[in-house]
Amino acid sequence: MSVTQQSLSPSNSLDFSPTDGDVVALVEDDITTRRLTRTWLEGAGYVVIEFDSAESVRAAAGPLPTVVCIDLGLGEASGFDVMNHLRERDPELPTIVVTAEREVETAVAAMRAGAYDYLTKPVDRERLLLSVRRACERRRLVNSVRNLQSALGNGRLLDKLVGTSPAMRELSQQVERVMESDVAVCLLGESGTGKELVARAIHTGGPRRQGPFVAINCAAIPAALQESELFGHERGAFTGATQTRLGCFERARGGTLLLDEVGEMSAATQAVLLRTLQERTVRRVGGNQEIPVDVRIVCATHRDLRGEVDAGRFREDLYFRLVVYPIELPALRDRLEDLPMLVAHFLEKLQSRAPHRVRGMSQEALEVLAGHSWPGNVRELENVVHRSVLSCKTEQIERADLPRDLQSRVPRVVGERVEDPEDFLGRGDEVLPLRELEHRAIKRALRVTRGSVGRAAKLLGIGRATLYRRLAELELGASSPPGEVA
Amino acid sequence: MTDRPPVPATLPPTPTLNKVRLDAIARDVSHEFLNELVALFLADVDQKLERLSDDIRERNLERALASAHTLKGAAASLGVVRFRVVAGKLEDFLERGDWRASDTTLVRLLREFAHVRSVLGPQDAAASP
Repeated sequence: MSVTQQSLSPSNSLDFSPTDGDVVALVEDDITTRRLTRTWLEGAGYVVIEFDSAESVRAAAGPLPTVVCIDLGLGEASGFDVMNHLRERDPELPTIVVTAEREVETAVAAMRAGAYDYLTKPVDRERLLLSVRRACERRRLVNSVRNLQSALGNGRLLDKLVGTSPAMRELSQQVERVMESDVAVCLLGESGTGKELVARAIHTGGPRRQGPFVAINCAAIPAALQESELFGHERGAFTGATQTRLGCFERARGGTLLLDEVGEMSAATQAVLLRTLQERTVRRVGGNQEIPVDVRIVCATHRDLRGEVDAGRFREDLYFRLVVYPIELPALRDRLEDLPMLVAHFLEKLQSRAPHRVRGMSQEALEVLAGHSWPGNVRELENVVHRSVLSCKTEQIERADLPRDLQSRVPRVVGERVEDPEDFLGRGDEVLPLRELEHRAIKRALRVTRGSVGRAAKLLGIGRATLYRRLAELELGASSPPGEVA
Repeated sequence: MTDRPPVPATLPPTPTLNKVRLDAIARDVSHEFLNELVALFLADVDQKLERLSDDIRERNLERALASAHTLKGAAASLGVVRFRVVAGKLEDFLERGDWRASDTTLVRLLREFAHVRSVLGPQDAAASP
């Protein structure tokens, strides 16, 4: 009878492959026990994946199995280490501990360490199958609760991404697309567009939702302190380091780390960050131990990172690590159709802090807001709504209640797309005939004045008669409603 | 006063195999599987005993302990009772750091394995005496 011994070294690219059925991971260094247990489990309909050492488990990637059976006496390693490693990835993963020991202390220690059940060798087939079945049921229950919590959590977070404009619908779709994977997401957008909110939505909607969400604003930390903040430091590493401190990477273990304003990171910190991402370990400042970290990285920046790479200010190798899936957050001026919804959202949010109930905003006030360029984006809008609520004496915010610097803005019909100045003059190096530019200028003037030839002429710096003449030449109707003129 | 069963003068000797366990494996899966498992066990234990002998000769306590422990578990799974007991004793001696007793028990373990092989090796495990 020939016997072929399986080699289960980590290099065999074992992983916790997902399947439709319940997956049982078998961590056992003895091949006879492994073969017997596997045959029993497969006979009962389970998908079994085998690991013959603690190292092979640590090297495994991919989703976790439904249940794990661990032999506590794994050669020279301890099954407890494997158990702790797996529970770091998911504290709710049911682990069934199997051992040749009969000591009560071992059983108690295993249960205290979070084992779901404890079996002694020789393992009885019926007892094993009963334990695995119950552990799978428990796993399914935990997963259903998580899915429900996640659905509720997602609902709340996605609700905060207020807006129904095409840009916001596209953003929501992109966020949902990256939630379930660990793909490196880079959030690109101006200040105040909600980058941290989107990062939180990605974290809460993904498999790491039980883990921590840690955000660090690289622009707010002096270059000299960035390394210590990100990677931690050992006691005595530098003057003032009176105790060991965990960095953001270690605090975000099992969760998500948002590197906000990553474009502001110093060259030295970029080098350490690159090594950390490559090795998946951190070394605290002043320390010499490599500490494994399992963290999802989301970065954000208002800068053109590609441009920073080209200018030599950002490492290209780091850029490719961080920007696998870029998501662009729209500026408020590019989704003015969301203004009424955003204002309503902030009014609702501010209700408890308002001196009296403010139910809405007049159309005129909204049009004034639509005429602003919103360099501070949604954050600026929230401040404006807050200030307006405090000034407002009635149930509705009027133009006069808006901050003084905004009141003088030329109103714009809410929901109309704001033309890019580049588009107005033509794209790129395109040169438009003066007649076309004149045509566009008149159309715009009529649009913002809602068809008033007198006010449009004033804005254009020409006489009313001249404008009428031009309109006739260009075959534009002065009385056309704004929607048709645009 | 109730009659208590008489205490035997000597305990029954430990059997080589747990026939109930072997029969259960054959019944739950198949005779062919049991034969395959026995062959796997014999080949694997053969290698492990060689390594264990080296470890004990080199007085490598950590590795010797791990090997003895694994051998004990393998024997328990298949129902090779006496071999399991001897491997357990060797583990105890190693834990105590008693190398002289470990040397003696290793010889016993090797002898026991030769016996197990003679019982299980060439014939059908479930049908063996």
